[in-house]
Amino acid sequence: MDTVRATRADLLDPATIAALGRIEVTARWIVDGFLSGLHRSPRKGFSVEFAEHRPYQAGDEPRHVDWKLAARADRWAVKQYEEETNLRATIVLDVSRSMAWSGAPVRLTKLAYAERLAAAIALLFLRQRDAVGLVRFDDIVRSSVPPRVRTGQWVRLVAALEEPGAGRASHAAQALEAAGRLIARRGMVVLISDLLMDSDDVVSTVRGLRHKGQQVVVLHILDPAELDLPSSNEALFVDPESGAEVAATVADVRAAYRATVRDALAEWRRALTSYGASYETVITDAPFGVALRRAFSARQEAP
Amino acid sequence: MGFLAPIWLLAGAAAAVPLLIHLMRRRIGTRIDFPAVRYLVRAEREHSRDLRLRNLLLMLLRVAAVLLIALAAAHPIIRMAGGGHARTALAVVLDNSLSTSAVVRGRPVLQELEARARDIVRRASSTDRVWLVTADGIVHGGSRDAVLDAAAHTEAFGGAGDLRAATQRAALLARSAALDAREVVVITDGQATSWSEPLALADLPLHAFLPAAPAPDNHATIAASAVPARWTPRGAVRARLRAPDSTTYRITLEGRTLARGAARARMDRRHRGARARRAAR
Repeated sequence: MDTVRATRADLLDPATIAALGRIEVTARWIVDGFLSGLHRSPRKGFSVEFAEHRPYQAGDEPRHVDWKLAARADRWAVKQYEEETNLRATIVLDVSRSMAWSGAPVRLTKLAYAERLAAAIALLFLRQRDAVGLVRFDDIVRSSVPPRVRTGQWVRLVAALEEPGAGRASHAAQALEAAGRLIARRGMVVLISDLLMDSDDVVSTVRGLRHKGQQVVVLHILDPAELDLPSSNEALFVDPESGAEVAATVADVRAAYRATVRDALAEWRRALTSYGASYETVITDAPFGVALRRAFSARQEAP
Repeated sequence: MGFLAPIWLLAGAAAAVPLLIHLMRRRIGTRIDFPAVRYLVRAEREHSRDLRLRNLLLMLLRVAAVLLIALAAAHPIIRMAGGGHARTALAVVLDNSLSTSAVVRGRPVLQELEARARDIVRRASSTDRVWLVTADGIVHGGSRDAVLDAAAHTEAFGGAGDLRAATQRAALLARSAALDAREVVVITDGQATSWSEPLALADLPLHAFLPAAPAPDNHATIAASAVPARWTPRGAVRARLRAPDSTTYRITLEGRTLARGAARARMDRRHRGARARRAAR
């Protein structure tokens, strides 16, 4: 069991897996590891048709083994099916300056973590024959890739993820509206952001998307230091986006800060879930598999 | 309350430092990029009352800590029952006149006086100066243990001694020490022969200790003279005793007993009056 855990990329430390290769490569490892760890095949369901054989891996269900092939060719293979789908998903990624921050050098920045997570989610959806698009935003919509399922979409998505961004502010509402416009039919919008913005506009837009029948998943990216303040005594804390400065002694305000963050997260959850959106917090030192599983759960609930 | 090192009280002025830090808006050199500043601002806004109270308490604690350190450095001394005391020059006058060799309740009076002297000397701390002056004019000084030892080995000498002179000498010794406090303690059996006149030390507290038991009758020989002065077998010894009634006597010369017997005392008027008052009580 330990060996399986150790070799599954989705359960490795995010910084470690990110250091091993580019987004494109690491996203594949993460998704492969994630899928091999599923006890239930993501391709199970109605309207499935045979696609190809895949070599048997430990953990695959015996019912998917092609026994005829095993008897004939003396090799074990698993049948893979293509599930027909009508899901169109758009990943809305916050690339503002506040995302390009890490509380410790050994951790990925929120943006680096979010980019890899977005790539893994996109690949996971594409493997299920879902159409996936991408909207990157900061104070404006930086880039937009319409949802497609065809070959080459993955390359376009990865290329878009590697574009520069990091403007001064975050206007998620505008990006969510753009994402909604990209999806003509009912589909899914996955917002990946640190949500350091006013909640009213975001919640209002989410409510609009829900009224149109879109499923909305919000992955709130947080650095551990944002939950508990950086380890410092007395310092001038500067917001990289707005330039606002606050002098504080960490030991004095830590308890109050923790309570405030707890309240703020609870407010986001309450506001978003009240309109039927999924809300999950994702800490940047957690393995990608944890966040991927949450996004995947939301996908399974989609029509 | 006193202080052994009062100069350190000036260090209490450092208490102004945390006060100034609290009152002045500090300049902070460390800048940290922190995207979640909005949460920090909100935390300070929502918990401003708690934070202000906490800062105030913290400032008070810091001020108190500085003051306590300064106070501790100044070595405060508080007089308490059996507790610490200021550095003291203590001169103990121990009456070891012949009368203190009288046996009362099975033991010599001097033994009780010595015990009392040792008790007093034991209460002295290592920073005190202690002397023991006996009625025969001998001075014992040095460490507390040396004085204790001297008090334990003091013997009665054959005579009344001069307690008045011994007390004045003790006062001189106490005055000579440059210490915060000076005391003279006289431990005596209180015989009238020793204290014919009142004694007061103007600038020093003088304590006198007397045995709890009433003073024994004084049989001391006040005067004795041989007649003729050159002793002959037919010679006589005229002696004057302080005895309330008859008393035995023994005359010795170089260890040889020359005569012994009982002498009947003639009471003077003063003595008779005292006995009459005792009888009336």
